[in-house]
Amino acid sequence: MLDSAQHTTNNDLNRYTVGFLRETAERGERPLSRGEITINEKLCKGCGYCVRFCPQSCIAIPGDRFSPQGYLLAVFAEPDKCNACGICGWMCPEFAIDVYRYVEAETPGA
Amino acid sequence: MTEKKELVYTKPKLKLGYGWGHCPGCHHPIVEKLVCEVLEEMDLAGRAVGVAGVGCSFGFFASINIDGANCAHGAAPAVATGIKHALYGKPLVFTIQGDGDCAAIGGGYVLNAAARGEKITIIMVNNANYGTTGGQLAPTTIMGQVTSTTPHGRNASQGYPIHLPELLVGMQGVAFTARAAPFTPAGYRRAKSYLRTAFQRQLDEAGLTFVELLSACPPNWHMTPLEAIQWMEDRMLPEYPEGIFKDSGGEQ
Amino acid sequence: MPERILVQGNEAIGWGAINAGCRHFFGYPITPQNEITEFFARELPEIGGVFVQSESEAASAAMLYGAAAAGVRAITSTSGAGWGLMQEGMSQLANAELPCVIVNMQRGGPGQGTTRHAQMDYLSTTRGGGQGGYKTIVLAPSSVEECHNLVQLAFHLADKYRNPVVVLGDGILGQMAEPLERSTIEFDPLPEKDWTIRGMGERDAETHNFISCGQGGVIPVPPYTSYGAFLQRLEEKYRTMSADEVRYETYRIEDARLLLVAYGSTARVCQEAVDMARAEGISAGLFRPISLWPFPTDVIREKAASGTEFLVVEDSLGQMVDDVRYAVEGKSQVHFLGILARHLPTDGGMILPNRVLEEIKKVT
Repeated sequence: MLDSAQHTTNNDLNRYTVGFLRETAERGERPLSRGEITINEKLCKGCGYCVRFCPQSCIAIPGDRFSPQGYLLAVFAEPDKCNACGICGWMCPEFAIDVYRYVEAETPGA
Repeated sequence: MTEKKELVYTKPKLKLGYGWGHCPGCHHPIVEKLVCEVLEEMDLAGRAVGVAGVGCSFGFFASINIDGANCAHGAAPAVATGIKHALYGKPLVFTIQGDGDCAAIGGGYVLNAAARGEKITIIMVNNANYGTTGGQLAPTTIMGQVTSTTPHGRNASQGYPIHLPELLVGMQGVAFTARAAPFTPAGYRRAKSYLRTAFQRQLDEAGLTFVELLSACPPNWHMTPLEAIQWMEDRMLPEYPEGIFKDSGGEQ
Repeated sequence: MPERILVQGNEAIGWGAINAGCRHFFGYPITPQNEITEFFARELPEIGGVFVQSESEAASAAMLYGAAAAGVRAITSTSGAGWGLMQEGMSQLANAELPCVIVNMQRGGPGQGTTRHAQMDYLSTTRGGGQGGYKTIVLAPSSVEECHNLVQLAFHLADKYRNPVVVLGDGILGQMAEPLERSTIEFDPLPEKDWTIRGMGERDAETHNFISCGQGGVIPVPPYTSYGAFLQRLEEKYRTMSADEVRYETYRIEDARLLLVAYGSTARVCQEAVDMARAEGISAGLFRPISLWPFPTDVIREKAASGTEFLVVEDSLGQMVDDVRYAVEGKSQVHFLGILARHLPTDGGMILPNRVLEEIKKVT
């Protein structure tokens, strides 16, 4: 078995870090270590993968919120802890999660 | 200074609509996601043609925006061969098949496509049972695993699990085989890396490339999604380890 | 000046395909059509075509499916158990509406059968031997020249209707040698195939094409968002084919009180028997269906209504005779001479003209 590390070339998830840093710098923006997610309530099937794999434990399934189809919804319970890593987005099988990262921009006219 | 939000992750552009109705916790849509992201990043969407086998992969190409087809059970590697040769090797051709489609009824097709060294990529989604039909014994069912046709758990009289990436290593026409388990973030990244390499070896015309991806199947395993991925870590990974088993490195 | 060559029927099939612009063959060895497979292996690489020897006939059908989906003219050929193996593939091709040509050079059956001629696949070919009930046009050559010409027609009809077409020969036709003038037959122009899967970049398209063998049912996406819509399309297609694609040939039928009905190599035997009968003053003629599906039902029905009797001669236990009986609608007599009338009980036995003449005399 070969070492998988030799083959992790061009890990494009870096665009959310390295690429993102470059793009935002070009626009004169400074990325912050804060993020936000939206969970599409029509799509969530309550599988719990986002809850399980969020490194910051931002997401929870409270057990009292249901989707229109009757699934137990995951909710963005601890927004202050989110650092926009994007792992919840990768792990969601329903394409239900969008991930945002906060950036600081020059106020126009300032 | 003002603060604003930038979208850093959303569903891939190649994905049409949303899920077509897989069970909660199934990793087939994750495979769709992986394939879409890799094709977008390698700028291969216009060059790709896919073939989906029979099973939970059947609707794969109905729901992503690349030319695709589905076909008879097990026959995807042969259909892929037909497409690749019809177009004199131009397109990037790959299959998405389940473990039953690929290793049972499709065994002969896989073996012979590999023997002929067809420049196609076979992606096998392994959930250790026949999911679509309600959870019967599959070639990749683990010893002791209860399925609807092994109600007392698989035992030696019902044979042993089949490990295709390892099996194909000895074949000269095979350029790359690997297995990943995209049920964790690290496994997701590994899967993406292996898919990239598999497609690249096809473009390099190095030979047949094969990637096995493990998936949960919560309803047929009679588990919740979170229990299912725990079972994958405890029982599937020891039987089906992740890694690259053969890489010809782009040479023929 | 067109070239005249002396070739076997099997090779004529190959020349027909090449003259129709076919450059892709996927096939598997089986007697008595190996000359077809070997022809393509030899000739296609010379002209930039592709020959792939598949691992089974089921794989041949699947490769054909892929090549047809990618928009090229593709062909396979087989016989006997290989034809049996292809049935699921035929059904999938019929659902996915993929144009391609399948050649079956019949041999004795059922099972492993014999390696020599017979006409025992009529039913499975005309009724759709695979699951679900579908129709494919079936063309039956009875000479080396027709092998060459009907293959070209088959490609045209396959593309015209987006349906597989079967060319049904037999072991005798495949092995016998006659002169052939190779030529490309001109057909009416057909619309471009905008439904193929070749990569969106290759098609200069922004949206994908999706080809499914579960149209309307397992995958209810456009163009057939319901099973009923899909079945309606099939019904329309088969109705049009039935109306427009009947083909047959007649020989000395003008005043015939007895019509022999035969196809393929048996028709050649019957032609001679008709001549022998006429020489003895018996007014017999030969009606030779060229399209076994759609079967020339209307012509036979008309003839039956005017009192003509029929003698169906086929190298089987009785398959096409059912279609003749159905067409006759009980209005006239249908006699049958089948494989048990061969001159020898071994697999090389044949229904010979003398034996047919004997039967003609018996029934007139």
